[in-house]
Amino acid sequence: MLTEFAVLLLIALGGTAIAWQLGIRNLWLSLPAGLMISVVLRDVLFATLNMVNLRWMSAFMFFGILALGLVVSAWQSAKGLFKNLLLSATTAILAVTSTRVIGLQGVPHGDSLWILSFARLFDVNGNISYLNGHTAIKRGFSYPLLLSLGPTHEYLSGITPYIFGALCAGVIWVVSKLTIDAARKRVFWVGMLLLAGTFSTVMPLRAIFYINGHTLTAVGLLIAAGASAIAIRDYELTRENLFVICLGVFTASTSRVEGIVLAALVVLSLISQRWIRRSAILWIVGSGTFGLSIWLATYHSYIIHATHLPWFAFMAILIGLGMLPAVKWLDWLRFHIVTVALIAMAVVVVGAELVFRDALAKGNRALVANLVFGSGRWGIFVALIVFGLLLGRLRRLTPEHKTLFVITVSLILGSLITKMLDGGQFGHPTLGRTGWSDSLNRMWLQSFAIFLVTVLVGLVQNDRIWGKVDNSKG
Amino acid sequence: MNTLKSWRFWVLNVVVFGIAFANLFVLSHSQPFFGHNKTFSVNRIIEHSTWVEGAPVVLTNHFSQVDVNHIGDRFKNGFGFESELVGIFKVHSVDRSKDPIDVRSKISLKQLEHYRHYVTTTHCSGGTSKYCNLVLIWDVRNSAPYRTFMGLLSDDSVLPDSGGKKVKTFVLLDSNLFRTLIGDPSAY
Repeated sequence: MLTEFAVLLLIALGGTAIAWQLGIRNLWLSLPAGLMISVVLRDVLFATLNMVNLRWMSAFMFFGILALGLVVSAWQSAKGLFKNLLLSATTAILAVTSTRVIGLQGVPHGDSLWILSFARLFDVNGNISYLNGHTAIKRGFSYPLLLSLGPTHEYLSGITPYIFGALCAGVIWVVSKLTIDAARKRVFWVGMLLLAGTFSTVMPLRAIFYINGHTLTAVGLLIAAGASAIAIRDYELTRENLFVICLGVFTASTSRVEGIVLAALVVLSLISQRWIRRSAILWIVGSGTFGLSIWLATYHSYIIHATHLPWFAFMAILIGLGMLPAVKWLDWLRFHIVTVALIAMAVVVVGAELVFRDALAKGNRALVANLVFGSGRWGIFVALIVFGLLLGRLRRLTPEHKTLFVITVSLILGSLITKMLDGGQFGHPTLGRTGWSDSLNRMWLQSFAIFLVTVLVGLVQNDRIWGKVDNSKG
Repeated sequence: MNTLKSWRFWVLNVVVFGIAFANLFVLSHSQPFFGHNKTFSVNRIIEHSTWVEGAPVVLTNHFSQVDVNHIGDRFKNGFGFESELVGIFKVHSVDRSKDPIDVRSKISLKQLEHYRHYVTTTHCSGGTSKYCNLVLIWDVRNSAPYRTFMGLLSDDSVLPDSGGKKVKTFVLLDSNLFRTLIGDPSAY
């Protein structure tokens, strides 16, 4: 138990301290940013040392770098850092206490056991070539790597609630930044209402202890979406926001196999801006392609084998293709990419529903049962989101609300399409089955925080709800 | 500005509380998580969960070296024994070239009951279900840390209350016990 307290505290404090050194000073952002920095460090160190068969060193180096970051920050004893460290440490202690002292654990699920098996392989520095199949690639890279940092032969149980804590802190950061000009009373009231509507359902609570990469993906997507909306509102991408977007895209792209697609949809609005620097586009897209390619290369993935390319050539091509959005002669497409993507996704979904009507009928029924009749353990969360979006400000949308709105619609369509593609590997496309463990049903865990923020911003910005004539910016 | 005079404000509150009420008291829900957990060892968690893929993990939990044969092809006459887990949990060798030995006419599952150690399910095909029963059997009185397990087809019966569903039961039987109860393993 003490080992786990020490390990998670080091991850929490080290990550937050390094985030501080890199210019991330906001209290609420420091927690998810620190976590994502830990993800990047762990992934890159493991992948690099794996190339020279020194995987056993990766955990030592990881902890060494975190400790160094902490010591340097403590030495500087920067003003304000203490608060950030206190938040991270408190979250880490609560997380480990909940699993190791109180004994709370997530619901049992086959995917969780696969992920724990991979964590076990990393823990004992086993042969990574066992992970070259379909199963491994579906279970992610970053999350099992973090889980493997537990005591010998045990998993790091506290990391899962800690990730959920980081998601909550991320929501607070995004909301506080996007509603900075709004009356605090409105934000507080809508926040309380949405909390009641959300945590009266099972799935968001299940995410706290459920062993799977969904919540880590959610952290990456939320931070990338929030920072993108802030940048679009301000017509400026600050260094801090660019950095956290890159961290978010990397984290999402290495946590779940569909993560890079969802991350791309989240940053599409930002990338389509005329004022964004080309170097920023390269950094953002490169974070996703680099993360995915080191994951595939480390796992000896069948995807690379299918191309008959050496891993470094595959990596170079993938990263190279990711640079295309920054090319000047593709600007005509980039400036309209959001509209193009939304129309294309809508056409794919509608087309698939028409062409594969019979194959998708069962999945459609399952989707309704899961989201409307409670089988997916989401209660009628969908009603909360739809109602919230409709009652929120719909005319003369502010840039940040419009961005979040587009991201929400994109994530819904993107999740449906990725599920169809996943099901399509085994024949006709499917939209899943009835029950909480259906993969599409669990996929909503990755985006529900963004949906909530979109609803909250819309409700807060609709002056008519608050008895005031609409005269705010539009 | 008077928020309390805005009908939209009241609609928002009433609808959200209605949704929360429905979530809590109308729609079915289940436990979001469980308590009193004391197991954090990955191997033990898998053994306790009777996972459909768990057989390789359970065997390596109990023996230093495990060899397995007569697994067959899970998409034909054999049953699932996941190769990733075989590698991760270091099963010494797995021979899938031969189908499970059909012992239905030689020995019943009831006769093996005494030695039964672990009952789970596994992936299979050919029947009316994609899942089959899998029973792991060895003799605890034998303390040898190195074991060879043989795949057997032991039963192919209609499940009670399943609407006529036929489910196969496979056994992974310790070769020492096979010799005692059925005959010379090398003859198969």
